[in-house]
Amino acid sequence: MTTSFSGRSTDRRTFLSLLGTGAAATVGGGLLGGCSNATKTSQGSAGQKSGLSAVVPQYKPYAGLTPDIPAAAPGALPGYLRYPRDLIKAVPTVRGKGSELTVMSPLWGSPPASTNAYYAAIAARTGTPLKWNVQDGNTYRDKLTALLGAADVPDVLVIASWHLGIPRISEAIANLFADLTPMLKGDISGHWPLLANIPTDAWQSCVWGGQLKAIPWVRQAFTGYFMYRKDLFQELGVTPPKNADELLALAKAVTDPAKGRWAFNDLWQKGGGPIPQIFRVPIRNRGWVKDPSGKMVSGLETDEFEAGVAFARKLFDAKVVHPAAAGGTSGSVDFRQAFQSGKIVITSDGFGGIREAYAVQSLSNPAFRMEPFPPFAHDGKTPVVNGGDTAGLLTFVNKKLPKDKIEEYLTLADWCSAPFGTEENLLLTYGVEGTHFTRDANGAPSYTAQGQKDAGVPTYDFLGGRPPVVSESQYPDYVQMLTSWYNNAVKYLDKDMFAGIRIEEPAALQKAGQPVVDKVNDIIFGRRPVSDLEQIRKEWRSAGGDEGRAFYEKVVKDNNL
Amino acid sequence: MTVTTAAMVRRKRRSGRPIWQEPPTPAGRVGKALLLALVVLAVVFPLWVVVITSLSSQQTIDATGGLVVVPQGITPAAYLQIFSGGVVTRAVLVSTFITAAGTALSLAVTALSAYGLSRPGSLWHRPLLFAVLLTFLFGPGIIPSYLVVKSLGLIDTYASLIIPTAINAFNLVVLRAFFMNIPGELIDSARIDGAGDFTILRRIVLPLSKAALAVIGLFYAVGYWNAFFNAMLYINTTEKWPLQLVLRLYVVNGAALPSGGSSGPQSSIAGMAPAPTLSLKMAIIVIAAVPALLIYPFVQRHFTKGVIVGAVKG
Amino acid sequence: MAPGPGAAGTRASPTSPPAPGSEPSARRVSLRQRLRRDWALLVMVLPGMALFAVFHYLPSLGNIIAFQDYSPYSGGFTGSPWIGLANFRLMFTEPAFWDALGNTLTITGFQLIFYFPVPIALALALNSVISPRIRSLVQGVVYLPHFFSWVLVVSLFQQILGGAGLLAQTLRQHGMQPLDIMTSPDAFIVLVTAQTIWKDAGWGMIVFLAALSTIDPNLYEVSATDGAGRWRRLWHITLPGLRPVIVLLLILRLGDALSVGFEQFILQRESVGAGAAEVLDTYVYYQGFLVQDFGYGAAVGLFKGFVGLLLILAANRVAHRFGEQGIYQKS
Repeated sequence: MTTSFSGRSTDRRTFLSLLGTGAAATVGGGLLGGCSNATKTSQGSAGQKSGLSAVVPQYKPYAGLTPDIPAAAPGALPGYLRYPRDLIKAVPTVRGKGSELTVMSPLWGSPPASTNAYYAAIAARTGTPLKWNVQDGNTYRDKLTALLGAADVPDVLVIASWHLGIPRISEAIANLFADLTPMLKGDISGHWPLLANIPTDAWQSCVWGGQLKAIPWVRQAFTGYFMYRKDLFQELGVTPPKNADELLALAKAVTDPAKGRWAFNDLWQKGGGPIPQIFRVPIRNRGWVKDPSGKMVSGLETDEFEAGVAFARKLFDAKVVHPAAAGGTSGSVDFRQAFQSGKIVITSDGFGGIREAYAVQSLSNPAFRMEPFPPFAHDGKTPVVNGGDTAGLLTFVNKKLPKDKIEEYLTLADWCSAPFGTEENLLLTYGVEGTHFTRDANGAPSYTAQGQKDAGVPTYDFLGGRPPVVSESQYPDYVQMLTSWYNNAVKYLDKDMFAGIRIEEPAALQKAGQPVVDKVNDIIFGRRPVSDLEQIRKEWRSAGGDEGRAFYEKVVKDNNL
Repeated sequence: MTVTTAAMVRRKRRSGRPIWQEPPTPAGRVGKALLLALVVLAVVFPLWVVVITSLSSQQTIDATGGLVVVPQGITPAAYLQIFSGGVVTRAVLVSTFITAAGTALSLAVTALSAYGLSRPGSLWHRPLLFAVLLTFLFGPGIIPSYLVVKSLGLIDTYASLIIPTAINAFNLVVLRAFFMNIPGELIDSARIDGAGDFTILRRIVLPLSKAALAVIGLFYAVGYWNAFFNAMLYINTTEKWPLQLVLRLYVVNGAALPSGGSSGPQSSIAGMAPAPTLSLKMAIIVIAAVPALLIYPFVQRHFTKGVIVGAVKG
Repeated sequence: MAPGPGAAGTRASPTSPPAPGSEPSARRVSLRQRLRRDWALLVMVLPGMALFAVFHYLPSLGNIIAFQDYSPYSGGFTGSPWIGLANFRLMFTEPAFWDALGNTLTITGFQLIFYFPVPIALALALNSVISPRIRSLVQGVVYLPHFFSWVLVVSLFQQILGGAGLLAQTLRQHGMQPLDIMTSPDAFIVLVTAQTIWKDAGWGMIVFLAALSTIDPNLYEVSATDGAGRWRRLWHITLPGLRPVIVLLLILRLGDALSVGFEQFILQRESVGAGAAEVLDTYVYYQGFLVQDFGYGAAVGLFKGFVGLLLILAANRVAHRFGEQGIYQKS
């Protein structure tokens, strides 16, 4: 499967949020949270929220470089308008003891040689050389299944959050990986100041059964939104919409089939796309909301959902959706290319997608501009912007490793967590000056051919976590545009009431999810009438929805939410 | 007399139609030509699109919105990018070695087994054949397979890419069917002359089955060449990766790099435009298919008619 | 010398004359005698069987987890609790499972009729081409699509026949309504079969070309001099010559009847909806993914293998009734 690493992808990660199905995304099994069995008749289980803060490191922000554009609130990203000339040396000494550790990590990009100048430079700087085993990120889940099942794990193992859907992963985590709680709980800013700089919510995603099991690699909370071609909008004389009606009118205005141009690809995206967002369909809380009486209601059962589905169908009937997307998100069509070609002018993407598009288009089409719509709601009132889990990757340490080596590894992870604006971060990202990168007149680094090969693909980057920043100053207006969007949208960022609680849903609820996605797609793409929604809800309730409701009501009660 | 017949047949073939065959009717000729042209066009047009797209610039791809039909601004950037850095070149060598060694081993083992199971009424051949058939129907899971390979000490070795898949039930059964098709008189007369089964296999069955061996060899070779799953499971060292594993990274990931992190700009190589993602993907497809193009003539050479007949008469 | 099995066996081919030292009259040959006679064959089979045993049978024992609540971490293959047929019950009680099974069998049946003969026809058509150069050129070209991934095949179809593809845009520019080819649930079975033909017919042809090369050309000559036309020769010489291979491949295909391909369907599942495109493999992918259980996957694998086995045995019996070898001889 093409599990895209960048922000919002078209896989099941997105729709989990609606019906809380794919545990692949933010949730592993919660077997250790007091669950007695995990057979296929599993009733589900949930961890406890209380006590979470006691097992994770105390958040002590690292006083790094002052950003040019500060973040307005936690969740927004600070911006840097140029690459800083004077970098901070965050880790003054070589702290490793020279133990060689083995690491396995997913890879998205072409593989670096297993020994290279970049690895060597970091080994010399940290004092802890690593033996790397990088594996294709797209088949990583299969490799993990075999390794975990055979209990054949390296000293250090990186797992993406969406790989946590491997069957019984929580048992594997309990059996194979070290409990980091004794070393990392409380105030660690004296010993590992850069690990202490990782925000608490990312750390909380690394807790299983009351034990801190991993180090998070931090991504931003914003998962994705409408993206539009600002350059084409100006050409066509249209502006971003402020409500659903304007969106429809706009879509009709930009669609021109004879020219091969349509407004959208599929923006429902199994219930996780931007259209559910503008209709305020509950995507937060794994797709559940507590109504005033204390009853849990699934997103599927809400009026917002029905209105969103009806609107999505309206878009389909208006023929403003690209024909190849009519039917859903087809894996065979590259809608990013279609967007960059102007075959669609509005799409949905993660925020990293903007940077990737600029990397391609800034050379071939300098006029290319990709921006998110300013947040809006279907009725023109207060919008909601979907937020997600910030622990994108998790690094586990082998249980068999002696304590001193685990601590040595944590010291390395601390080094790898060096934030933007430090010497360590420059080495981590770009390698050695002269060998791996050169600087332009403004001091901005860019890779040499060898640098692209050794350091251009993230390896060490995944081993630490650092608060994300916006620093792509080579693209015109990019930093200003994005930081001001974040600083505005952070007001509307959704908070998850279950954040930090590892939940394994009842099997019946999990199984009931995919049929709903399929049937709702049938409605949106004209194969069933909107009026069938009531029937779909009824089927879902008896197939596992009601069981899920009882389960979530218990979770809410147990945690006093 | 038989010698002259064979010679005549050969001469006739060179001149095209054998003398006993009636000349084709004009309608039949046109119909067949039309049909074949259509079939070839249906294949060649998409092939053309793939090749042209692999050679196109980002501007051209942007203009079409996807695959390119009309060449415009041809550039080898994708191929240069793939072959820069030596990763792909090395992987080509690894894959070539695995394919050659694996195909040789597989053909040997399969031919032996196929002959061993092809003699009517031989001891235990039915239960053995049934056992082979079951492997075609029931497969092992990932974890037990990994445990077996690991306990044999094959993790991170080239052998792990060859031995576990060295024999395939489908190929075995098909080759056996060809062996059984060889006229029984040939084998019986050899036996009368005192030949044992090994001699019969080497001297009679194998030489008469070149077409079948070529086909089965091709099946195995393509299997080894295309295999990536076992390499993904069993190989840890990047330098031992076969080509398909390396190419997948380009195809699935293209130029896209992880985002949402903090590592700052993942810019392109200084002063060099990255090859368009789509051309990269198409170039990979071309590179992966080239060996198929190269190897086919060698397979096809064995599809000559009448091998068996000459042997019977001779 | 080791007496030939074909000579002394209980099922010597009727055409073969008895070899010296054979005992055609003895209905029962003792095991020791058969061993002495067939030892060479057993030695030949040994390496292949050893590979099957180590890399197939040994790990396949792991399929017992279909009857377990298997966890590799607590219990493993021997210690996990036994749950009898619970995994199978889970599979069979879902109506969606039967829908997917029905779709799969429909597609298998459809493709047996509309795909399976295509490589044979292609091989025959090419075989009748007289010019060797054209013949080898066409052969070399038509087998190439096999090397394309399904992602590429589907996107090529999309690019040419899709709603925004070459055909649709040409129609639009001439003021006509584009056809709904890629997103029509009703036409889906035709679409996937067309894709399969495009991708694999040329590849499937090769084995038939090899089989054609084993047919004695003298038979054609004799038949032609006897006045048989080209169609009679095709019917009486070519097809009988191909028959053993055709029957064998047909039986093997039946053994795989519950697999119609995974990628091709998962890629297009959303374009036409699950109603038309859900096959057993995609169903299991979604359900297995959500149920998150090793044992469930193993249970489905066993079910598919078992159905395949039944179909193979039945087809083999039918083949014997028609005097064919089938996959192995009757007892």
